[in-house]
Formats: sequence, C-alpha cells, structure tokens
Amino acid sequence: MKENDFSPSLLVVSDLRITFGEGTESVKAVNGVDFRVGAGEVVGLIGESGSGKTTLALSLLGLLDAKPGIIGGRAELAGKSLFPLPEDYLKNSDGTRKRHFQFQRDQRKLLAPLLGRELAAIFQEPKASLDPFYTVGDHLTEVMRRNGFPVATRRTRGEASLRDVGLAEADKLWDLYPHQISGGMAQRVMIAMALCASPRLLIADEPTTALDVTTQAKLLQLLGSLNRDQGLSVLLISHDIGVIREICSRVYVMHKGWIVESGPTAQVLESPKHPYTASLLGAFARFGERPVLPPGNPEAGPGCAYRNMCAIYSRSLTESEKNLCAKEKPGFSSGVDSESPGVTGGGRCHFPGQSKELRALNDSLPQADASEKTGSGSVPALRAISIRKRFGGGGDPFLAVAEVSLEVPAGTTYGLVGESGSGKTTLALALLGLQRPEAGEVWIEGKNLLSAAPGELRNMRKKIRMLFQHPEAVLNSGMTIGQTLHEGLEREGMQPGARRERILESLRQVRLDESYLERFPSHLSSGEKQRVCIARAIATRPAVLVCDEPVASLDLAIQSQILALLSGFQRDLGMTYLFISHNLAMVKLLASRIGVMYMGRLVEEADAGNFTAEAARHPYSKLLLASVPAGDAQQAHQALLATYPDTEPVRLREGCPFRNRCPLYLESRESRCEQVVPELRNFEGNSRVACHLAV
Amino acid sequence: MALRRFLQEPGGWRITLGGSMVLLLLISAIAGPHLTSYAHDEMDLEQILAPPEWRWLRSVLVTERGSELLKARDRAGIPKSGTDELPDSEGGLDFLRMDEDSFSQPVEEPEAKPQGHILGTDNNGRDMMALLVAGSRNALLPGLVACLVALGVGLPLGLIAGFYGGLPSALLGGFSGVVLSLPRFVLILVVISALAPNVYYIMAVLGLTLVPRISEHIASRVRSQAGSGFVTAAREGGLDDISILTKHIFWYQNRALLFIHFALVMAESILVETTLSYLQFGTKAPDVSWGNIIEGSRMTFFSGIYWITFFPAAAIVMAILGFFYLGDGLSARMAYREGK
Repeated sequence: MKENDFSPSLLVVSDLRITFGEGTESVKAVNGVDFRVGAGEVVGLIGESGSGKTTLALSLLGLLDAKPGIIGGRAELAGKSLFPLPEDYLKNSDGTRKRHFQFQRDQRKLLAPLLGRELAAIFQEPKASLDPFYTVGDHLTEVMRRNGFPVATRRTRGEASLRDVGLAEADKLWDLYPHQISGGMAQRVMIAMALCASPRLLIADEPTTALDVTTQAKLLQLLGSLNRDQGLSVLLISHDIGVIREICSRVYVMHKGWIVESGPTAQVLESPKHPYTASLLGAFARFGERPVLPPGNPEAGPGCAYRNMCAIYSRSLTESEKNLCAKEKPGFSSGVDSESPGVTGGGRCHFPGQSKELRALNDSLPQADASEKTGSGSVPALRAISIRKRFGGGGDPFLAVAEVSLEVPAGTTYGLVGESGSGKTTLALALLGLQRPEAGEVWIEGKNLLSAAPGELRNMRKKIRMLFQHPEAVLNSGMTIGQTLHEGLEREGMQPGARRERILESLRQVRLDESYLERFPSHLSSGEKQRVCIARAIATRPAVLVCDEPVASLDLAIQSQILALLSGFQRDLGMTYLFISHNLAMVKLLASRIGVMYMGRLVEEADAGNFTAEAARHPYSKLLLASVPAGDAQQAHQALLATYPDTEPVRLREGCPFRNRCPLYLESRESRCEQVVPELRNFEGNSRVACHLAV
Repeated sequence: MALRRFLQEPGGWRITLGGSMVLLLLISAIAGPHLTSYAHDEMDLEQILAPPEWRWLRSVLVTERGSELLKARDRAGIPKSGTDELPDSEGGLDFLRMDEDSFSQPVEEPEAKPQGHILGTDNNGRDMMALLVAGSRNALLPGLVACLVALGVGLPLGLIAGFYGGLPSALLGGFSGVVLSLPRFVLILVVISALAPNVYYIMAVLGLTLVPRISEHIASRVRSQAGSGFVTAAREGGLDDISILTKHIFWYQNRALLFIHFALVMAESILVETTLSYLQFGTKAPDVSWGNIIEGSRMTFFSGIYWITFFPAAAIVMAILGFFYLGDGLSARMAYREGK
C-alpha cells in the first residue's frame, strides 16, 4: 500500500495560484501550492472547510465556476499540461473577466482528451452527482460513448467495471434508478463511472463524508485495493484525519490556501512539524478550555501567523529565535528527516527540525481526563421507559423507535451512537415530547413528561432542553439574539431586570458579551450561533441537555471549543447530557456510558471504557467500532471486518433486525434470530446487549 | 449616507418613488378640504368649463421675499419690460409680466380669496382641484375596505394552511379554486344587485376575490418554514402553536408580506373602483370619484376640453403606479434582505 517516494511522478502541480474576484475584494483561494502524486500512489490532501482543497481539485478538472479571477501556475499529468500556459493570458490586457473565460475555453480543449482516460473524479454527495432520470446503466453508457467504446461492448464492459468496484449483482443494478440504490452503492457507481475508461489518476473529493462509518470503511478498502491491484493513483481530499491515515502513503496539509506541511502520512500524523497540523491532530482540542484558533489570514501582519498556537514558539525557543518567528514569514522548508533519509517532506516553519519537541510538548499538555467522567451517579436525572414511535399508518407503519429504555445518572453523559436512519434523532425528539411517541414514559425529577398536563409540561420543558445540529436553522433569522434569549424566559414570570440579568449571565457562560444582544444571526459565525443556542438552553437552568450532533456541522477548532464549553458546564453545574453523535471517537471521549442504536432499537449499552471493537458484545457494535479508522489497531480491525458479509442494511420485519449483516447468525443460522426480536440482556462488566448469540 | 445606502439596495428607488406618490395621495385625502379654496360641491356658475389657470399657480409660487426684491428693483427705477398698466403694488404679477409678456389672459384683481381655478372647472363650474382632492378620499377609503377583507381573511388562512398543511391546506385550495373560477365583475354585479349598489360592498367582494392570491403566497412561504429548525426549537422552548405562528413565522419572518400585499391590493382596488365608478356602478354623484369625473367629461372631451379627463386620469395613474412601485420595491427589498 505504501509506496516509496521515488515512484515516477504522475501529477505535478507547481506554484498553483487561484484568485477569485478582482481588486480589493479578491480572495486568494489557493496561494502558490506545489505538490505531486506519484504513479501508483495514494496521496492525501487534508484541510478544513475554506482551506482551498476543493477549489484546487476543481481547477485541475476545469470545473471552476466562471467567476472572474486568475489561475496561475502549472499542472502536468504524465507530461501533458492541464493548464494553458498562464503567461499568454497575463499578457492580455483586456481585463480579467475575458481572460478567465478564454482560459476556461482553452483548458477545456486541453482536458477533453484526458478526462476519463487519464484523469477522473468522484465527489462528496454521490446521490446528488447522479441524474435521477438516468439508470445506472445510462450513466455508465454515457461515459463510454464519450470515450469512444464500441456500442456492442458497452454493456459487458460497464458490468465488468461495476463488478470491479464490488457490486456483484451488476446486471440487476444496470436498470435501477439512483433513488433505488443506497448512498454507498451510489458512490461505488460513481467510482465505476470514473474508472470504466481506465484512468491513471482518480481525484476523490471527500468521497466518504456523506456516508455512514461502515460504508466508509468498505469504500476506503475498495480504493486501497484498486490502488494495489490496478495501480490506480488517487488524490484523496478530506477533512477527516482517520480517512487519510487509513490509505494514504503521503499527505499534504492545507490551510487557507497554503500547504503548511507535507510528508509521509505516518511521519506527518505522528510527529507534526507545523503547529496547525498539530492542532488538527487534536493536540489542541485537549488544551484546556480555550483552544487557540488558527489564524484567519496567515498573510496578515508580520512574522509567522501561527506562532500564537505554536508550542515550540512558546516553550522552547530563545529570544532571538522568537524574533525570527515574529518578524519573518517562514518559507516552505523541505527539511530532510534524519531518521528516514530519502523521504522528503517539510513544513512552512522556521524550525521544522524541532518536530520531536513539538510532539513531546503536545503530549505533555493536559489531556481531557477520563477520570473526570463520573462513572455512576446515583439518581437518574433522565429515565426513559419503552419509548415507541412510528411514522405512517395503515398497513405499513415505519417503526422509527422501538421500545427504547435508558437511564442517565445525574451529572454524567450518556452517548448515543448509530448510523443515519437508526432513530437517534427521533428518540431525542420523542424524549422531549416534540414528536409524541405512541408509548413510553420519560421521567425527569420524579414526573412523567409524556403524561404531563400542558401547564406542567411547560414547566418540565425548562428542565430538559435540547441542542440541535444546525444552529443556523434553529435561530429565527428575523429575531435579534436578545429577542431569542428573552423569549425563552418570557413565561418564567420573572421581573424584566432579573430576566436581563439571567440572559447576560448565560451569555457570559458561553463566553459572549453583551454586544451580541442586538445582533442578528446572519452576523454570527456558526460557532457563535451554536454558543447562542447553548445560552438559550441553559438560561432556564435545565437539569438535562439533549445534544443532537451539536458540533457535526462545525469546523474542527470550533468543535473543540464547544465541547470544552459543554464539559465545563458538567464540571461546574453538574449538567446531565444525552449526547447523540455518529462520531464514535468523540462520544467515547465525552460519555461515561454509551448506547448503540440500530434500526430504531437499542442493541447494546456499555460503559465507555469497555466500548472497543474487542470488548463490545453485539456484532453491530463491533462492526461500527472496527469501521472507525484507527491507526494502530488497523490490522486487527481489517481482520474483524473481513468476517462481515457485504450486505446493505435492510429493515427486517421479524426477528433480529441485524441478522442479514451478522456473521454470528450467518454461521449458525439460529432460528431464534429469525423469529424473536432479541431483548436486552445483562452481561458482566455492566453491559446490556440485545443479541441471542452474544456471549 | 444612510439614504444613499437605502437607495442603492434593491427596490430603493421604487420604494422612494412609490412612497412619495402614496404620501401625496394620503396628504390630499386627509387634509383635503384645507388644501383647496373651493368645496368640491361648490358650483361657480360664472366659470363653467374654465381652463386651468397656470398663471395663477405661478403667482402663488412667487415667495414673499421674491416680491420684496421685485419691489425694491422697481423703486430703484430699473425700467420694467412690458406694459405698465397695473399698479406697482402687484409685485407678484409684475414678475409674471416680465417673464411672459405675451400672456393673453387678463389678470384678476387681488382679493382675499383668489378666484382662480388652478386646474379649471368642469361643466357644472366645480373646481377641478377640489374634485380631485375629494376623489382621492373616495379612492383610498374603499381601497382600505378591500385591504381589510383581503388581508384579514387571506393572512390567517394562508398562515394556517401553510403551517398545518393537510386539511386546512386542501380547504384553502378548494376555496381558491372556486373564487378564481368566478369572473370578478360578475360576482360584483351579483352582489350589488342583491344588496345595494354601494361602493363598500363592491370593495368587500373585490377583497374576497384577492384572498386566494394572498393566502396562497403566504401559505407557500410558511410551508417551507414550518418544518425548519427554528420552529422545532421554539416548540422545544415551550411555545405553543399560536405563538409560533404569530410571532416566529408571521411577525419575524413574513411581516413584510403584509405591506407588500397591502400596497398591491390598494393599487388593484383603485383601478376597480375607478372603473366601476366610470361605469356608474361605484361611487355615484353627488359623491366624487375620479372615475365618475371622467365619466362626466365624455361629452366635452372631443371639443378640446381636455382638463376634465386628463387630471383625474393622471391622478389614477399616479395612485396606482405609486402603490404598485411601493409593493414591488418592498418585495424586492425583502428578497434581498433574505438572500443576505
């Protein structure tokens, strides 16, 4: 899988610059980027939203919007240029707009013979990339027609390439429409389309971001095997370090249009040379309450813009060395690592050689302490009993949540994980009575919320509040922050003065100041909006906060800020959380007890410490945990994943809902699994598992 | 600075232009009788079909200071141009004489109450200006009735249908279908023949026929907002449906629609009112409407007596354009604010 660095270059990009807009309003999206992808190599490009990584990929494919702007630099694929020579366009004095259109026309001419045969791409939303009126076969045929395959061979060749990407029932799939296949299958179809003319380089822009973790694991395996078996080169663009770590041999780290660091994956991810990489890797997510944000514009001001977040700068440099950092912008120094000679890599840093120290310093930083998570509070702050919620009526109701019971002890965090469609959010809404369940009880402070009278219910709503996934949708765009916050307290019967005091206090608690009261949501960043949502929730002094993917739509650095805020409340105010997320790593870090949902049922409940691929008892939990990209345990996980059949999730009407994907059932063909829905059973180590075969 | 920004945002010019026309209309409707020297039903039988007196208009426009200056110049003995028949005290008229030597009309003697009919008189000797001003009141008041009905029914209907979908939405669809399939004027004729030929009945019916357009528009917007996060969040915050609907959805998200539709219904109702009054179904003499002024002019129009037709027609165009620009500008402004 890991190629050495001397493989012949396939794609070489040098000094790529992309600017949108003109004059003072121009934005440098890509700022002098150099990189290469060797033949048969999988190279990762990692960065947060706004780093310019997608712009870079689109420019190579000639897909950038025809906005007025400038593209400069060179890009060559196996010696053939992907860009018309920029000098011709810069000499033209007709103005940027015309220049850009001319550039785009010429680039399309250059790319026409290359797209499909040399270079192909897949994108983030596979379902959105497929035309809903075309069948899978139509999609493939179109690509082959464009590449001049004879009509007679198109079907066989198309089916062969579907089989290559692991879609065994290619002939059945041929006539299906995109809405009839799952997201994972759709992404495989996209890959089959990209590969059916045998290109040498595949550009994959966030190919797994929209997919579930088990599907993601399968797709990464597929890309890895295509690389191994067919020598396909891949440029994998992602914001997810786990994904990159899984299959890339080399990696480039991008921030605000710059490549700040590059090198072999293991080296970059284990001993980052650049403080930004280190912060991406989570060292700073653990750094106390207020992680330092990376600079918004690395070009502003004198000196290295990253020095405020740099552990080397703050701890191990002498004064004269600090002066260098404060005065001069560092260039890209391709320092050769003494341990692994021959491997190039480097960072935009004055002192890249001190990476060892950076790592040591990062390790010495205080880490989120697992012992902080109080294991077993005595009184449950929230108790749900047999919640059932169905959608649709008549003969074919859809059971979104089936008989889920759980208990959250006061002052602890209960993590709820599961793939999309597992009923996590429906359960949360049912717990708050926002979607009334058919059956069940929700006990908070000795009262059942679901049987409360309207007046009583309103009082109980203050005790259990919710944080939603998309803060921008939650805040009414026509109301100022102050109006939003006041509204929540209107029914409390408080004096106006006391109400204002309470609002200011909760704003202070989320570290926003009074000036926010008069602002509208459109003037806030998404992190600030989520803070306002938190302030809105805690203003009523709730006992329980249900967090439904509260940071999933936020950037990494903002995520860690919000999570630090939440864990601070737990420590200081004894808040109880039900934390819903698809991100297993995050849940394991925060929660003391974890529940796994599958098809509306709670299939396993265990203490966070015992929640690993090895210790988990339900086969679905094991599958989930093994699918999470994990550096060290990768081999063991791959072996575990190999025992699972490659089947899609199906809603089974009777018996165990998981059995069609379950290696235990497929081995034993146990009849109980077909007839009886398994109940949660107690196991040693304080875990409950809904499986007939678990031991 | 703020004004410039206001004008530069989309709809700025339309709002300003339309708003000032509407403002003019409002002033004439409210302060009407104080603006003219004649009552609209006062017949000046010596001045039947008098043409517009532009000259008199200009004498009014010359300021006190201006006439002082002219007098000072006279005293200094600078020779005046033109004839010298009138006494010197007529400062304002002196000024006129200098400018328009060739003006043929005799100049009135100064009186406490100027006799001039600025915009002329009609065939009953009624002052056109007074008629127009009286007509503006009869254009706006029936319009307000139409707006009251159209918005009073259309707004809650649209909010409820959009928010709940299902049966309310289906009922709105059925109601809209029935109303839109009935020809508006036939409906109006049925109502006035069944009840009484009163302009306010007509306007109530007109308002009702405009309900579908308003409520469907509001419903379509509310429908897309009913499932959005802030509604769930408001519910989570303990608000009931009525507060969510009135406060979150109507007031903070859609209140601009109220003003937009108000302006558009006003434009439409002025058009309908004047049309019907012209056809003698609406406002009837002795009440004055721009429509029945024009109707009264149809015998004299082709003999060159343009002013009885022209001024009310101009007033109608201005009123409708004003309201239309205002509504259109507001809706462009709303779309822009939302896009931001």
